[in-house]
Amino acid sequence: MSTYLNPAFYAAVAILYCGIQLQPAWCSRTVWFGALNLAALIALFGAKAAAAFFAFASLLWLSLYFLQRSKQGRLRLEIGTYGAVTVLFLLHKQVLLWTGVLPSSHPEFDKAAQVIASFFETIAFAYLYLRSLDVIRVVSNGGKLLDPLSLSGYLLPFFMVPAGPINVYVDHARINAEPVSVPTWSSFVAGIDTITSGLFLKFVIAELWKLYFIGLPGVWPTNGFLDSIIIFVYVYFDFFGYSLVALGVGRLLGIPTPINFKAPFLSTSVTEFWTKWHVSLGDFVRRGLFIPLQVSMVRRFGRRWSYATNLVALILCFAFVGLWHRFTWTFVAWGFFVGVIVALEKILRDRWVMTEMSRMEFAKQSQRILGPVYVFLVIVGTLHLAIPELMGQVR
Amino acid sequence: MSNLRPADEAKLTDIFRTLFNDPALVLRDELTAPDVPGWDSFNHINLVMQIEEDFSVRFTTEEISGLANVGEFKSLIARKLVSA
Repeated sequence: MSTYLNPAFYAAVAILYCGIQLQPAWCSRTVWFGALNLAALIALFGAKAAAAFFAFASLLWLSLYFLQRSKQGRLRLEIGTYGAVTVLFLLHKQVLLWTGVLPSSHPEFDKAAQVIASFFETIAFAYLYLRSLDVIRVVSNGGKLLDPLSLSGYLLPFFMVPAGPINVYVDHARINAEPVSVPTWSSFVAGIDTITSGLFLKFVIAELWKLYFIGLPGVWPTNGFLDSIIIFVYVYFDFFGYSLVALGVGRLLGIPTPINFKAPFLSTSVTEFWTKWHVSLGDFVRRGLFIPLQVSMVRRFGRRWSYATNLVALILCFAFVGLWHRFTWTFVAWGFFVGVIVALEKILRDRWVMTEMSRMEFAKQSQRILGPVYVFLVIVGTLHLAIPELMGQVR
Repeated sequence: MSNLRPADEAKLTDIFRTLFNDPALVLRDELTAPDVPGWDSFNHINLVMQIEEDFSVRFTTEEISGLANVGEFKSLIARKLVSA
């Protein structure tokens, strides 16, 4: 929350908006943005955090550089790089859990855990991890490796630190090949409009909603189903607001920034909901996990089993999404459960479209009206058990 | 615009028509999954595997995840056939 309330953030946006236009001819756009972005990270999050992040980006780059050039041991390097960033991600999640159950009997351990947790949170490591996986996947498949400065600009754009979204490496690398767009009044106004809409959703709608239901220094009640509905609606406006601010800044600076929400509450199935809520995560999972799993399983077991293997891939992907949010059994179970619902919807939908009734106008209208109600209840229902953990409480 | 030979275009159309059970389906380059009933993420992989089999080519997962419309399918197949 503090980043978007910090006037320095908007000063950084303004300076970078002007700075981007001054890109020298000898410098590529990704390098120029990488340099400006690093300066913004230092100004907003401190030199130590920025230096540690750049060290991480440089090490990742070095590993990918050798991966790209190696003829022997390529697979080992690829697995090693995936493994190293995953170990860091698990450490990040574990440290968060440790700090959640403090204090322990070892104060020095508690202090170290707090420092590490705070560092990981400052650089939004959960998002950084997914972006790292995206780069590794592209480069290990023969894609272009950007230089370290450009890579750092992709891995942690300062305006995506608070809450993502998960930008796409290939899109970021492509901006060098695209003609530089001249800023116009209408593009400037569109960017500002997106930012202010996001700020309104986050700091007016979401915060008034919170204030109305739990008061000023309030603690979220998490026992009843209604409590879960209230929290879920708050999370929607909060997250949608953050995502819009990032989107607006991305548009102003000409940095590819994905749209994260596409009216999810109008969805008529849980499957559709997950293509409209946190879209950048869904797209990441589709290209980085679902399709590779699908391809490898269909090639391994044959097309005869593709339906079954696709269902397994689907459930595994949702379990991953659960784990990414929190490294606990509750969230694995939540992801697994949502995956099973989506798999069941797929099976039922395939049976349903074979029936005469599915072509009747009445059935289509009913689905349009009742679908969003069903989706809302199922989504809140599945979240209900996980919400205390999500809000940092123990049920 | 792809440079797929007419015979290969016809072969690709046949694959689409058979898989999506629509004998009247016409392949336009801008055709995407939402335009074709039944073209979902499950059938996408069947489509890719059928194309690999019929054209004797092999796609990487990176190439598969980048395929957004029929035009991209055609271009990718044309590139693979040239390099084969």
